[in-house]
Amino acid sequence: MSSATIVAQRVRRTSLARKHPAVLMGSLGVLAVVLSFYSLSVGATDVSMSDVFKAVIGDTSDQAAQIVVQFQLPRVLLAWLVGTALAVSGAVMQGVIRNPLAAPDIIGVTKGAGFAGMLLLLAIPGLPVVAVVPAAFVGGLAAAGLVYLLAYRRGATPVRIALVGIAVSAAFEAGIRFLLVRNPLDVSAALIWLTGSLFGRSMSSVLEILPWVAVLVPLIVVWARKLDVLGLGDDLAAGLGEPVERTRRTLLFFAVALAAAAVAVSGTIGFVGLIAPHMARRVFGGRHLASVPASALFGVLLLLTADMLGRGLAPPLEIPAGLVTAVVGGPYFLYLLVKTGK
Amino acid sequence: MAVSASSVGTVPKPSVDATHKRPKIVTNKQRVTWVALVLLVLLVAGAVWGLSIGSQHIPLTQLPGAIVKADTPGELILQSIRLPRVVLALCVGAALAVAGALMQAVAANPLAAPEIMGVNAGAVFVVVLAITVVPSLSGAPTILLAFGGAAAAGVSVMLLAGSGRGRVSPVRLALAGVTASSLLISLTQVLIIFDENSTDSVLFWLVGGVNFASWHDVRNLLPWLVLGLLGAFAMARPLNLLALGEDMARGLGQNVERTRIIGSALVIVLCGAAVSVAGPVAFIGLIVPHIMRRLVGSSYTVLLPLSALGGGALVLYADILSRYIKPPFEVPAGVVTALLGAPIFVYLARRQKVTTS
Amino acid sequence: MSLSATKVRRSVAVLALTVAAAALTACGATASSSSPAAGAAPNADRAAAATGVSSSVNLDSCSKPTRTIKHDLGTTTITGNPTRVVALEYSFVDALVAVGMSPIGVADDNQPKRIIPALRDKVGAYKSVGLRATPNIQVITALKPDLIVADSGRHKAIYAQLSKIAPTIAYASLNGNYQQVLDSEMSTAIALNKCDEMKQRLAEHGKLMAGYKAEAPADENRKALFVRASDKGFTGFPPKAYTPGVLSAIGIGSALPDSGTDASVSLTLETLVATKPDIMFIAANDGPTLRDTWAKSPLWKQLPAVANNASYDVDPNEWSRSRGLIASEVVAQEAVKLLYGK
Repeated sequence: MSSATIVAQRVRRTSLARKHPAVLMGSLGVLAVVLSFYSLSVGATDVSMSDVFKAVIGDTSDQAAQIVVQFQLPRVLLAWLVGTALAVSGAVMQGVIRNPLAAPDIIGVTKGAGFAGMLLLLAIPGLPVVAVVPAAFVGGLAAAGLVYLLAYRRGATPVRIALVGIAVSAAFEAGIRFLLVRNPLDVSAALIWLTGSLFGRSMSSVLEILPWVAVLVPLIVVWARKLDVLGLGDDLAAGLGEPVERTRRTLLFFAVALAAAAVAVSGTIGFVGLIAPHMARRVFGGRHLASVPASALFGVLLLLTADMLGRGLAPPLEIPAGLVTAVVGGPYFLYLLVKTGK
Repeated sequence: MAVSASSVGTVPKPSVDATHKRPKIVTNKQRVTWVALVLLVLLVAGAVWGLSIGSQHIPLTQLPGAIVKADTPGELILQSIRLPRVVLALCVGAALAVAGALMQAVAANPLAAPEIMGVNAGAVFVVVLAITVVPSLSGAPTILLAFGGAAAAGVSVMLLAGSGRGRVSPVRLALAGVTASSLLISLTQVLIIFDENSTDSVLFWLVGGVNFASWHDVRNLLPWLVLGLLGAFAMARPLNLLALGEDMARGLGQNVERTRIIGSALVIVLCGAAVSVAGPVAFIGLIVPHIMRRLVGSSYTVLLPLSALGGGALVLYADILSRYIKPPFEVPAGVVTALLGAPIFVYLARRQKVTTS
Repeated sequence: MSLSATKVRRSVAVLALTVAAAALTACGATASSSSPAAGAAPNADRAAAATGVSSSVNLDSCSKPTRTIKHDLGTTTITGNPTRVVALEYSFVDALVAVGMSPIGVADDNQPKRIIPALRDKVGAYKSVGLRATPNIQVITALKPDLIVADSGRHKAIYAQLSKIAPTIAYASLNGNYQQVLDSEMSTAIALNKCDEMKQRLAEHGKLMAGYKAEAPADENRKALFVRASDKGFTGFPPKAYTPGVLSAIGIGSALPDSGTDASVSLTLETLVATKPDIMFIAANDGPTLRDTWAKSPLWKQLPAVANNASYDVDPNEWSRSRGLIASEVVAQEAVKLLYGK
């Protein structure tokens, strides 16, 4: 199986996407916006669409609707940002590691951030919750850094990164379990945070992740060609004049930062970073200039849907979005892979 | 053509190696004997130690009496609490270690291990699902369910990684396994969270341990352990052949598919039984075979039995160590194996000699 | 990269991992529970205005039109008399019923049966707001409450959002001991502007508990063990925890040693035997539990509690989940009935 499968030649495109990629992407964007509004109205107490519009504009005539939107809005915005961050991070990772099974989770970011967050939450209970986010972010970055360091041996080949990443993730997972065992009373709450959800997030979370997405995603799109080149293989890429190791390192840093920010803010929502890039590539082809923004859109759609389902399926019960993405995304992904034989 | 392990020197290395170094099928009889002896001593020492720790001091002179009649409280404690715990630790360790070695043979991948391949996670998920739906379930039926879960997960991962198309790269397999595992673990976690009834279950099914071992558990596990071990030992020679490479093995007349299938079935039996009785104790299947390989080489005729001994010892000592984390109270042994195994896993992953792809 | 440099890198990484592991164990050795040490028995001989409440509760705000309440997550000012109250833990339902009020919303884990009979009759109709771990903010908003009472551990993360809906006070319920429960009920009553009612109720409570204590013979020095039994656990509670605190208030000491800050301890049959409890109160989950397995052992029969027929099965809802003033009276009453047949 050639490792350069990500580059355009071997991936199928639908004819629509081939002719009018921009149109299709635009429609996806519109779909996402429509879904956002719908999401604002769905929940344990339904708010009518007109009230949603009014509240978004700032019309405070219906108090209850206004408050509801006030709480839903951060969640929806977060779905956009976290979905984008995870999906783009996944797209970059799959491009750099040259393996369609790569995801932000495997480079240790998710578990590292989870461990750091839990360490703070459980070991220092008096700490304000605000402190957890930066801690988780730093933890995610540190874990990824550790993976890179350990995988480095005259360069960090994608395969070594993947393998070491899995091992380091397992190590942090062991640390997380240790913490859980030492603090049995808080296990439920900790697991819920670890599963990843948009529950109870406010605008401050949105502001925490916004700068990272706003800066890094455009940067990655600008570097889309470099991702294509990397996908050709180290030798070819170097032959084309690309400083392979440096580019790889930088791109990985971008991916890690995005993923760490996402995890810090919403817990460890899985599968978005794995599936969104796949869907993007199937529809728009393997060129990253198209597939990266498309991944973002698919990521947003996935997360919006997961959050809505989580809230709407069994009210007042709130199923964490991370669980919905796992339950829906996991089997779908397995099916995808078996079907395409990759 | 029968290949007797004790008469084989080094096997000539075939020319092409896609992913990892060919195993050296060298058996140095002296070395093997030494290692076996050391392991046995460790086991006995561990058993003695394990039987002596506890909240009350019980001199081991009471042990014979404990096995025979068990009248005094001391003997009772030895017989009904400490002894089954030691025995279960040994059994679970042996099962998981041999399963790991088998898995690595079948997948031709030194990183293959039950937890990385999702097999353990599958077993746990199915058992927890069953217990959530039918709380009164226990014992033999759960083991059968665990087999089903382990099988489903293992097969899915193999399909996912595209086996049957020739050698599967370690990365692909590991990634596929991790994907399947994390899915199953998320599902399991959710079943447990929303039950909200007991955090003890959470810890047990996430981490695994032999804290509350009873003879009942041992009885449930034993038949499957014996079946799995005997089957594995019988497969040693075919596995040695397989390790030469698929083409070579076929050329020597082996039915490769059959070997793989039987090997996988044995893995499922050993893992499913062990996990349903002690939860997903981590890393045994990965690190014990690896250590044994370093010590005695890759011939499965010695690797398998020694792995069984080594696995038993590891879980035993992990359980003993776990008693010192929060004395005098209990912490599941799985935590210790996870903390010990993780750095070793990292070390192994780094050592993987892989060609760039 | 030279060989020695690689070796150095490797050693650094291994060292880092080892240090991290060591740090973990060191962390583990220090205290990790979050319940502060407070006396297990209420301050019965305090001659101040509220019986049994510790001096940290500020009664100055009582009966003023605007009251400032200090709670675990800050300070909240409440004006007027709240009537629409949402309780996010069972102990807060207890507080409301104790002053003759009824909540409009309760986080009841979607299991109304978990509210104990003593409270259920007086609670009337309420709207469930979901799990205690993740209460549904939309539902709470729709109820238009004028006071929310939350758990300072579980709901720390959403406290800010809850405060936007209505004035919110938070106390340690999950990890709270008997004294803290009484204190929090008094504080809640101050918030509700029902000081006199609560003072009266507390005085009654003091008398009731003293009455139960009197039922015990003067030389009662048996030690009791309270445990939760599940299929994979047998968890004992040390003297400072809630239920042992209640038992100690009626003169029954705890069989477990004072373990410092651990909120609960996991027991094996061996440690149970070593504990030698004279009395056992076992709150077992539905389905087969470890208690059933252990009951078959001769060691079980040799436990002093079992040998003297002093081992009793009790309801987990009453003895453990519902921590409160009224609940503690139920516990005391049942304990006295079981022990002395009165």
